[in-house]
Amino acid sequence: MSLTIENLHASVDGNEILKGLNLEIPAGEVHAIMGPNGSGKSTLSKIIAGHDDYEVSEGRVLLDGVDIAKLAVDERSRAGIFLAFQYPAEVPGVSNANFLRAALQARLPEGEEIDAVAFYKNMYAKMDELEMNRKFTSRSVNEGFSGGEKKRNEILQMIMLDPRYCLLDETDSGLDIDALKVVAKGVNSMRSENRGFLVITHYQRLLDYIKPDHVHVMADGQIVKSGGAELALKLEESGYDFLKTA
Amino acid sequence: MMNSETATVKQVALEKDDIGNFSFPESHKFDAGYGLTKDTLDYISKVKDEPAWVNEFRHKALKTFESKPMPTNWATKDLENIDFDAIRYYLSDGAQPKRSWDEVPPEVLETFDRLGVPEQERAFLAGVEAQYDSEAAYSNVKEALADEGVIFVTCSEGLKEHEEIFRPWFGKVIPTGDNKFSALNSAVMSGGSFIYIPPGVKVKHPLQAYFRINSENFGQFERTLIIADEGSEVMYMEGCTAPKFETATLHSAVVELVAMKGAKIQYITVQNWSSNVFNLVTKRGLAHEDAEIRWIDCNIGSRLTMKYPGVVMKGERARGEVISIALANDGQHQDTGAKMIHAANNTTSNVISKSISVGEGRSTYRGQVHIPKHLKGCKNNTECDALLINTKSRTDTYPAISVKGNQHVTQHEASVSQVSEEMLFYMQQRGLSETQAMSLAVNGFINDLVEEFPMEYSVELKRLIDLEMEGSVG
Amino acid sequence: MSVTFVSPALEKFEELDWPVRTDENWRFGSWKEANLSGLETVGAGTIGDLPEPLKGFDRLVFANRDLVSGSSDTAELVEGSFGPTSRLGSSKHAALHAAKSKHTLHVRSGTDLSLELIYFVSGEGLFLPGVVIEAEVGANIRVVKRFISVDDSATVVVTATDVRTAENSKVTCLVTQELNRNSKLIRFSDSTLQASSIAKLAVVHTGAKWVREETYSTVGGLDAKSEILSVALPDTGQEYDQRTFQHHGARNTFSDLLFKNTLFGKATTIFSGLIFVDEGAHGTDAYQTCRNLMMTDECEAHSMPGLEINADDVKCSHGSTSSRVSDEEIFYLMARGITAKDARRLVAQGFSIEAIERLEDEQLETLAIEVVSRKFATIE
Repeated sequence: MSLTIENLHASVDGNEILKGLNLEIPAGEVHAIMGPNGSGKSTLSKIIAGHDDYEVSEGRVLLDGVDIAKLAVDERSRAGIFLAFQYPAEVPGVSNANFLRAALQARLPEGEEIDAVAFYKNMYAKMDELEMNRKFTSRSVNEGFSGGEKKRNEILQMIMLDPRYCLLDETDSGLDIDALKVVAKGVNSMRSENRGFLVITHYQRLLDYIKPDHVHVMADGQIVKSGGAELALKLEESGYDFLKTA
Repeated sequence: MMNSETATVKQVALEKDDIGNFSFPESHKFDAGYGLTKDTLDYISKVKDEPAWVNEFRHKALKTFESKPMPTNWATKDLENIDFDAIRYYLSDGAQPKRSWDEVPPEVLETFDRLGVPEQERAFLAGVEAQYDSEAAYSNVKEALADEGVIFVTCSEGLKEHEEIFRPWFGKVIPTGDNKFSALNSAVMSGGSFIYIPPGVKVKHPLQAYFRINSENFGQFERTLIIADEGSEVMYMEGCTAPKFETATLHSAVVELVAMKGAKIQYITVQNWSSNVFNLVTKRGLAHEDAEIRWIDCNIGSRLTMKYPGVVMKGERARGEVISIALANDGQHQDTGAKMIHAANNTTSNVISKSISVGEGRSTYRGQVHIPKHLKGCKNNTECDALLINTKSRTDTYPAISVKGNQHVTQHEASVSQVSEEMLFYMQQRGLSETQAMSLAVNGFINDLVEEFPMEYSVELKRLIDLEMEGSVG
Repeated sequence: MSVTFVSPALEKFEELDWPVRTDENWRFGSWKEANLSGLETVGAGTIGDLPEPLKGFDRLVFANRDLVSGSSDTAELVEGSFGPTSRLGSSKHAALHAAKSKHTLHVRSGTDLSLELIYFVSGEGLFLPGVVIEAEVGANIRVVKRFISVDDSATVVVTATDVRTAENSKVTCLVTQELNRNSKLIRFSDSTLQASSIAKLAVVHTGAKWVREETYSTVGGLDAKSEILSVALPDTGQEYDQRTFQHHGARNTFSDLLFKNTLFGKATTIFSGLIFVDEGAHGTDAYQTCRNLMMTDECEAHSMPGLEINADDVKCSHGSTSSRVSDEEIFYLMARGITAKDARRLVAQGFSIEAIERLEDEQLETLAIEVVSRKFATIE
């Protein structure tokens, strides 16, 4: 079982961003992707999620062996893909609780209803673990949230929706150390042999807390180097220039 | 729709000295025929057995109606499509057209299902039954009101049986000549409610004429007068979310509210007329010292609705508020707004209007705020927001704010936006389909305002809006 | 681009009617003041005291329609009208201009240009100047236009300006009027923007007894930006009636309108502004703000901010407020030793300056502030 990307070529507005990317994320593993700005890291996560701004010209994405090309964004989500956005959108007038409930309801078969009591109990328990104030449930999704609050909200949603493969798009950007630790704790609590993670990050620091099984370096639309966790440290020391010589 | 078990919100005509004895008037068939002449008015007066002063009032109004031009210099030219000669100005209960269940369109039945309309109401709404038998369930409510001295009768009864309370205020808040359509209503009015709340009485349950006896109350030319005496409070609800079988194409109602010192009136309307109806309504309230009038309005149906609820703040510290939600779908034009006339010191007015334009729908906001010379301490806040769903939708905003002097504060803000791609993508990534996401976003947009409606309405409103949004995506 | 001069359209003028009470475009306005029948054009004028010249600007000085000093390679004076159009209710006045104007200054440049135009106005009757400013590709043109009354004569100035910006060009234009209290001003300001061009048009109204101004901005090219600014300071016996129209006809266009009115004595202002977005003009960002600062108990402000939106991917908002100088601000200034009267003046000046600062041009801002200060000095 894995999330596999095979020779993926994709472009936006006629510009090719992914130029033959290959990557396999087996369930149970945490893979990290690092790379300079413009390497296509964020694009990759949006394409896996199914954003229609991007055109896939070649290659495919397989979710546990199934080609997801024809699945719409929401279908991919219900199939088990979760994207923690770098810049989560605000949804005015829709409370966090109602939003989560609607998302969970969408996963139930026709006619079945979410048990409200169980839902709230579960949500509050997870919020407590993430050190989120319970008042957030009645606030509009991400409206007026600080950067750190938005990221925590993404992790809360991830925990509640129980996905198979989680794509974390620069989850650490804008977070101070304490917030980072809490977010990492949330992510780590989700690690299991049935779930795969793709952590996209610019800085090594996050990987001190979410220890990856594999680290990949992306440049100019492709994976140019892969290794273990020590690769991230090497990058930190030498910067991305070392790729040119290595 | 209203659950008949709850019995909290329905009220039926009350005979002044015959409490508990409710009877249907005999089902006569009265039809004034097509077109509008002096004879039409006399026919109506005769059928209703009206006193002479009412008949005179009607005739004067007819003259005023005929002398006024159509307001197409500022309003939509679609008004020119109204053929006054092709309209039946009075059709009583027994003469209302009926149809069989086979003739009821499937979408209508589906809406009933989606909104959860109780069986017995469906027949009435669908035009299969011309009458709704509401007697049994509501005797408790009737008695309670009678104990408190509350008068809640039809307008016809009001002017006959309670002339001494009715007549001093009738036609004062909205004079016949206010506009062409208030003049029309004054000429051919029938149906509507007359409500009087005695001093200090705070009516606990919202009053509603929805299922009163006969189709006159879904009448084309309803005339309602509500007088809340000093310190009293009342909430009145009109209309319903479910679609109602409608053959008449012109609806021109007049609603006058009078809130005496310290009184509070909330008037709630949900309008979902079928898409062939021209709905041109004049609504205004007069608020005395420390009184408050709130219009809470939701316009979802009709081909063209023109409605600008207003409050004249006549006494110090009076408050006027208009909260409005409008949804315009293909072939619809919701032209709504508010008129706030400050006529005393320290009065406050607040207007919040949210409109949604879907498909080729068009929504327009027209507002007027007037604060004249030598008043002090008045405040107005207006917020109108428009949400556009598709490429072809259209929205217009035309407010006019006039302020004299430096003793006041006014603020008007309007914005137009659309449900962003980004927001939709975010919600879909959480597993919601595009339709669900759109629905959630739209409900979020109007959420604050929907909360202002009584709970039974707010649940249905949300469902109704969801229904309207379906098929609008993409 | 070339300008075609319209042949005298006297016939057209005579066919049209002066505005009447029921004209929607004249709602709240003084339609009677707009009736100019019986007036003839003024003759030769006289010069007043010349203000300090602006450094780096070419200067042209006019006494009514005659050029009395200065010259510029980029400006050509033609006898005739460029034929302004009115779309906001004053067609008869536009036709009047087209028929009877004997003065159009045609300014055109493909590079940088700074031009100052001083119009000394005098005589009883009509004065009908016009200016066409054409910025060719890549040009950066700054124009200052100042109307100054020489004496107390009641002149009715009907002026028309047409700004056209080609791709990647920029025009910054500041118009001031210090006409006497017997005079009237009717002003047409049109601008048409091509792709990626910028137009910043500002006006400062301090003089005249009655002003009717119609500003029409067509943002017709991709990524074009239009800014329309106004500072008005009417006093007792002055009424300023300003109607605007922001027309978006292309994708990703931007317009921002900021009008600041400070009303003294028994002054009256009328503002009507419409943002109109064509079908297909997606990505439009349009804003409109009108703020009225009421300085006395007897002034009157009418605002009609409007929107007509026909495309769905747009961001538009408008806002209009009216308020007085806040007591806290006055208290704060007084606590620093400033008199109440000076405090009110300072706050009001600060209020006007926000619109002026949008010009982002120090010389023009300084000039505008001077004109504003002069007006403040005359107010009790």
